[in-house]
Amino acid sequence: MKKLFIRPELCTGCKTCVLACAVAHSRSQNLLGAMMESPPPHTRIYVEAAPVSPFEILKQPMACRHCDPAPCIAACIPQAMHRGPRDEVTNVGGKHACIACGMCIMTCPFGMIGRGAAPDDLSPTGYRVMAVKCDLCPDRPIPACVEACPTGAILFVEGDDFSHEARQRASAVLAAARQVREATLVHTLEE
Amino acid sequence: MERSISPDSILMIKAAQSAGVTLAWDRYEAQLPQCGFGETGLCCRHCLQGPCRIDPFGVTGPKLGICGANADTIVARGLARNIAGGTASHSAHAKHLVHTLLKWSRGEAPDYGIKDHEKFDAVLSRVGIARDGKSDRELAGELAHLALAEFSEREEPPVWLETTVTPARMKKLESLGLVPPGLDSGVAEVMHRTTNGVDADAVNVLLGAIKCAVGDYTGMYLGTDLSDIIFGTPAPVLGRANLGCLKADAVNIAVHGHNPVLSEVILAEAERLKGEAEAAGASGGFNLVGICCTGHELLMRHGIPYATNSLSQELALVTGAVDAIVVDYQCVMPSLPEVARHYHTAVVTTMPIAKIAGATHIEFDEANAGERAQQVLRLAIEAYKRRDPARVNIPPVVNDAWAGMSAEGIIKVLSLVDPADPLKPLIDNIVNGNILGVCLFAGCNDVKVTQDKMFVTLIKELVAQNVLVLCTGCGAGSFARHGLLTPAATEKYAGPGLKAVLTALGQAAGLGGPLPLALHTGSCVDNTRAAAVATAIANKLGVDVSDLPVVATAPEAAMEKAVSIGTWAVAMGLPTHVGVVPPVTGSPLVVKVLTQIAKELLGGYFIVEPDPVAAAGKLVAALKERRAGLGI
Repeated sequence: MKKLFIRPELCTGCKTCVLACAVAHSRSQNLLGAMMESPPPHTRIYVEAAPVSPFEILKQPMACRHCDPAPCIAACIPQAMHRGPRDEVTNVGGKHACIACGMCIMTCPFGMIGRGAAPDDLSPTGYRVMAVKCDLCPDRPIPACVEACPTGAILFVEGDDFSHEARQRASAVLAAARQVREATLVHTLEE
Repeated sequence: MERSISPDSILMIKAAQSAGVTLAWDRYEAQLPQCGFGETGLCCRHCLQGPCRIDPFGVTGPKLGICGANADTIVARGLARNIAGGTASHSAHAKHLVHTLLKWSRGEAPDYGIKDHEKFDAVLSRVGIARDGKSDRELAGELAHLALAEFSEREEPPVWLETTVTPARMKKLESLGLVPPGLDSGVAEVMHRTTNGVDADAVNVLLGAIKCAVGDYTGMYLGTDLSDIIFGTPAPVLGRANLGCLKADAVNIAVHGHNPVLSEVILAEAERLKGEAEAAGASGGFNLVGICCTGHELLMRHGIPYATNSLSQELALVTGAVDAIVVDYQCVMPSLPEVARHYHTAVVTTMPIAKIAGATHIEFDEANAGERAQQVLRLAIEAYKRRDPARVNIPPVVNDAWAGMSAEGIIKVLSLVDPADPLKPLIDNIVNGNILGVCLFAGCNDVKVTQDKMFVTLIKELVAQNVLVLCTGCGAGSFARHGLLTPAATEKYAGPGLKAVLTALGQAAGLGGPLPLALHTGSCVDNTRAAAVATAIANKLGVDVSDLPVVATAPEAAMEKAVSIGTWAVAMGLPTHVGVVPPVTGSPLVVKVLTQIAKELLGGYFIVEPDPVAAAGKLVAALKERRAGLGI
């Protein structure tokens, strides 16, 4: 399945993904409208900061890893949490409605599930409080965060494709090292 | 990351946490991670088509803004606007003093006057106003009009620039087109050339920004001159520092901000209304303490206690002992009314251009200064009556702090050693190596780095290598609050050569011990005092400031004002260290201009180094390079 894969070295921490996610999960589907909605839409992607050294902070966007098997599905008592058509883990459209009990929040090892109001046509207020998490934007060809990221730090790809690209980068480093080695050898032989 | 190494700050940060008070450090953490486009200077909001952002990695994102501006242009334009912001602030401060003097000259500001006639005469003669039997009021009016003309578009170079730098420096600035036609014109020109579709050559934009910063120097010099004329030139004075200076038995008033126009009158009126405070039950009467540069203005002229730096301004309120905090402008946190809500403290704004929602506004004007000051003091007494003694938590931290080492103050001390040639002992000791060189510590605390840690680490490294330290603003505040403005600190930390010199000077000055480890040269709007000493030495030796072993550092810089000061320090020829990386890293060209090309053009250049020990090494190397250049 395609998942969100992150290249933290490209993340500038601008949080454009956070805004795009909230807008994608709003009623109005645009920033100005979403800002005026009450309750406001809830993001499902987060940008976290952790110190690498006293002078450097690592920034990275984090969202649901869509585990398989997923602890949150196992923990969901009303069986709202389930696997959707893209193999994504979602609590929308499950066997029963999400009751915001928080079992999934407690069980998620990455802290990727929040709790808040989300648009719900079946509710009289138009919203319901529920567990909110990344659903990989089922109505979009690619998730809103991936589309919005200005540096390409978030990819929506197959795991194998992501690791293939990483292998290619590593291999390019080895190739560059090889060039240096060749040059050094030639130099040594000339001497 | 530790928030502070200052013992009183640490105690009050803990107290704030248990009282549920949100501080600047909490708000910083809530901001993390901060947007990297802003951090690198790669976000442009100068027109309504934006914001435009340049991809710093150049992988998939754009390399040009909508108008076609590249990373270099966008970064240079952003930095230039920072410098314009800083220059506008210092110029506004100076203009406030000019208007005060002008009103006094017309008899419209009875609570002010000319306190230092010696300085008045010195400035008049420097700027070319002849006494010609005119009265002080007439001369003050003439001086004020000359000063006001500095800000507008002129045909001649600014007087306070031309008469205060070395002839060589003036020639250099003129040849590079770095003399602003007027101080406000410099700001306006930066705003013009950085708007959409004007200057798109990053190097040219930076030159415009440096020109603006030369105006910052000029306005600052003018402001300091007028402060001294109206309120007196600081002379060595012993005061105290830290939050432990607040008193449980007094009506505590914290004056915060920058301009002595406000704080001096409050000080004078507090003496007059002492009885009212005592009648309200405060046996200690009024206890005025200073925060930020207002604090330095009062410390260096009157020995009034210096409570804390700008970054920790909220912590003064957390003591539960501050009855009123009275502010004018600059570095005043809009959070003060929210912090005060947890206590009984009255937050009083005084300036028509600097109000805070939720604060009490008592508008201050020079014509009714005394009366307004009394209003503020009575409001503080009312608040004192609401104070809950059970919540008073004054940290038991107090340090002695020697202040008042203005350029004139330094010369006075030196002339005790050699009355005929006061600069000689200083120059001799630089030449013989007892003093390796001079470093000016300036600038702010910055929430991004542990409060005071860089200041304290860096000064200890430098003085151990016999570097003479001058300090201003929150830099001076850090040293004051860590007991480093004392003779004892000299005994403990100074290298042998420096210690010998400071001891000889201290004994000549009758201190019975050495001068303090760092010489408190003034508030952050007084950095030109240090420049004045450097210019005097350069003129005496017939060289330029860029030849002297003199460096500057703003290790914990935070404000736009620090950017403009740092930029004029570079323009005046000083290697200038900053410990917090400014938003310029998105453009390798801009970084190169600031750190390398500036050196070729001006002699001064920026050194960016977040590690204080490494920074000390780089500053010492810069001093040694200068010494080698002079053949000493």
